[in-house]
Amino acid sequence: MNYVKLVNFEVQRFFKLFSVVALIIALMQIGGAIYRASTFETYAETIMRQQQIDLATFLQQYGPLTLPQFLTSSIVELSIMLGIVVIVIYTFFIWYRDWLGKSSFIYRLLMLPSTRLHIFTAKLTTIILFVLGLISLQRILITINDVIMYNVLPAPLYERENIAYVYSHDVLAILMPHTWVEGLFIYGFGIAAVTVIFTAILCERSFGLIGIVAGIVYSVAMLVVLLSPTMIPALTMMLYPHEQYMCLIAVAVLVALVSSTISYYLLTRKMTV
Amino acid sequence: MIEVKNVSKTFRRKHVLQNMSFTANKGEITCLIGVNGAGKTTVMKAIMGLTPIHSGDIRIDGETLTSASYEKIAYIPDRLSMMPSYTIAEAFEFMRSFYTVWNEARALELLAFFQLSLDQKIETLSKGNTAKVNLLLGLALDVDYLLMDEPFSGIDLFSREQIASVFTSHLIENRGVLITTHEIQDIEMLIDKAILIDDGAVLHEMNVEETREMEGKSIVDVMREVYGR
Repeated sequence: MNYVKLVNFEVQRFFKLFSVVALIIALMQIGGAIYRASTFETYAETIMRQQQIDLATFLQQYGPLTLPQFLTSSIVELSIMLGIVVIVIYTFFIWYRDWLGKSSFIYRLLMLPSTRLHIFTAKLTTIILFVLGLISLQRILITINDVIMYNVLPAPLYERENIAYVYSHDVLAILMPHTWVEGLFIYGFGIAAVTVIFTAILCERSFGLIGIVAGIVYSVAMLVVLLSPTMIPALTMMLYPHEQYMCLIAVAVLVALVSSTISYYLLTRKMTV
Repeated sequence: MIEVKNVSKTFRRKHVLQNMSFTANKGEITCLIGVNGAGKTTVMKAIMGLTPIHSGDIRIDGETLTSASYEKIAYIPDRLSMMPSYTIAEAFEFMRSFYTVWNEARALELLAFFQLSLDQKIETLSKGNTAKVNLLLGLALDVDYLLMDEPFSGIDLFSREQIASVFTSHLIENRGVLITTHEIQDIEMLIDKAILIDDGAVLHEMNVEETREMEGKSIVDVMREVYGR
């Protein structure tokens, strides 16, 4: 029960930041879609006038604008990068803000009448919710961008594509996996990485300077472990791709469990405030 | 009873606690006295599981500290342990949702006593009022033991008097209080037991009333003798 309360509490704490980041991403992409659609129309008109060709010839030579073209443009990639950077920074901030600043809220958190593992899992859940929130936003924005382009550009200049095809492009293929195995792999890897960062932070909070070194060494070691199924030739040659994915998922689960156990130990036995 | 038995702790090769032993009983006010760096705060944090010890044993009513113990013993640190962006009402809501021993009636009584209001944002409060909120959040828990770290630190005379008056009120009755303070004169007459420490070790332990009546000495007199100043 206290875990749910702590998650609710953490979500309330990041909601303002999440709203601001979501708004910036939405403005960047919607603004970018309007700009791209209108400049493409101007571009098409200029080319047709300069080369004295008709619309059919233009489309034959240059092709229509498609959603994947826009989604791989720098404005969209920049907005996605912004989301990723904020999440990475927040992964550190979610712990350090309780120690630093005007209050020492960590005292209160550590003295709550529930297992300290709840503090760890609530913060982890918050990061996962942050990621899922931004991915949901991206899904909505894809549809909005499609509608904008469809309405701004005359029909032949914009070619609507199957949404599944749209999701197969670059970054979107990573953010929105096609199969549940891929999904488990990508999100399992992400969750394991967050638990490793949390453990490194708690190492620093427990042992100071030595903890920083220990945290870095631990992070590098866990990265090697996470990637080990792809580095062992016997595994990569003998296993089918989906079996390799399963191996990677198993390693990610193992890393997440080991990191959570170490973090719990640090929180209960080694933590100094 | 809070029992600290042979507790030692080393930090950066310095012995911050050296084989420290003492007890603090329920229904009594025990004061830890010592200069800055003597180990007062460290031993309080150790009792609350906020810093590890290297050897020794700490028990509360015969049991080692668990997460359930935080409904039996509360620590009021010398700094705010609540979200500064919260209003006092939000701080109450936080405490109410996590602690079954949160006593809303007592919290409201203390709020009125300290002349604070629910809609005040903690970060806008003066240092004295912030200290009162911090104290209030601990005192409003129906716990058997209260640990207070420098509750009078850096606050004005009137706020000090107001906080000191808490010690003579029903808010403290039947509880065990372990307190550290430099402002010993503010609560000297209220203390049952004083423990003088230095360099992480107990130098002297005294029953304040007995010492006053039998030897005619105040805590400050004994402090001068023990610390040689």
